[in-house]
Amino acid sequence: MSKLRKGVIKQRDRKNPSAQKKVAAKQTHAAADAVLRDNFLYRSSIRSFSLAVLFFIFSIFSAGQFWPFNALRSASGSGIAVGYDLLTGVLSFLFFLFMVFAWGNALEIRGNLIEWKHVIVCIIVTIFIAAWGGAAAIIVFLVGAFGLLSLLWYVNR
Amino acid sequence: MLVAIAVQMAFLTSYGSAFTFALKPSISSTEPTIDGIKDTPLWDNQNSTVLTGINGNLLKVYTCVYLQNLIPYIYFALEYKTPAHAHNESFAIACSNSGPTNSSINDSIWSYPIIKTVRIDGKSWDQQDVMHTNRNAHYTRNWTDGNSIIFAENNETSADNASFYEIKLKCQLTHPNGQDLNWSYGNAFVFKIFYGESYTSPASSPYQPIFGDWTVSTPKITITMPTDPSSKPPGISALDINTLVAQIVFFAITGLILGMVGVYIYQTKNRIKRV
Repeated sequence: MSKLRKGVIKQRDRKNPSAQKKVAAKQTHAAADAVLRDNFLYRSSIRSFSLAVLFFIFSIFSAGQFWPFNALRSASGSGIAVGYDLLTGVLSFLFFLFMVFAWGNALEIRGNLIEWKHVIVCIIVTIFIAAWGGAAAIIVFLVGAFGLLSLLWYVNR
Repeated sequence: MLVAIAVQMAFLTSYGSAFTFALKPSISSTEPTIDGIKDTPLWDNQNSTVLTGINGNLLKVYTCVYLQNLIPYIYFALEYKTPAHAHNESFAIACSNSGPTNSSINDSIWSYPIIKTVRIDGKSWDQQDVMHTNRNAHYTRNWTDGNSIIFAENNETSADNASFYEIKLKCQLTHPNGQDLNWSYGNAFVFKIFYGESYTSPASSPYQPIFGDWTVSTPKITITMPTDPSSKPPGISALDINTLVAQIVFFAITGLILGMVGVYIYQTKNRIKRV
């Protein structure tokens, strides 16, 4: 901005102090909104991450048939063994869902957006857990992940 | 000529498949009630085979496995159709703990180490091979020792004048007093069903079947136990991590990635001062 232009603005502000106050008030409101928004995103990120950790543990225990899932697997019988694998798939998908939400919120606070590279990292981690749980678990996870990503794409297009 | 041979082969194939003396019980979600009354929808949905060797009459054998407190029990149901039932009509399920390739199991009832007998009046006997106790003879006794093996009841009121027997045996039992069924998941075992009416005098002790007179029997039947329900169905698993070390490594790697995301989220608070 040239010195001349700055001088003109100063003179205008001296003549009209209420306009200056309005601009300052707008800036204060915007800053307060940003703080509220970032606080909300941070809290949401922490909650999502906590749920992601919870479902990570559940999906690992389910895939590996550790306690208490071993009893559930034994009780399910061979006829509905696929049903148990579906449960592992659902747990894996929920882990993926909340991990993406948590990471996405954290990135947004920093002024970035979640990109494919972040989503792919989440997919790789989750798909190994689902694969451990069985083919049915992989299918459930992939269908869920495809649906989620399609929904996000549709909302943001 | 070729057509005739083909027709004959097709007939033989269908005949053979209809009378394949093999049973493959599946794990039933419902427990059959051992009361000698046929649970029609339940048994009709179970694996079965029809045998014709008992005096030319029809004997249909049903079988299923039911888990009780995660312990497998094998259930047999015998449906015997005959115009007239003998007073002492009895069936003995002679079981081996060997597969069909074991040559020591032959057509004789004495070659089977485990014999479970049930009579039309519901009375039952258990015979064990007690060779390991250095007794040379088999012995028979009433099954009254409170073991969880439950024997049958029967009912002669069903259609076609058929008698119906239901038998429940624990599959993996190490009996303290002798050898008993040890049928593991996924493996095949041989058994045979003998028909008999001969018993010692009721006044004798022990009062028992005279198996030497029991010469009427079915062919050998191969029974294949279902796969272990606690194991994954074959071919469904996509990634097998069986060893503890591999499981720990897998958990550590995935947990590390999750932890890095957690640290990233935590650092967000420090980097954005206004939060």
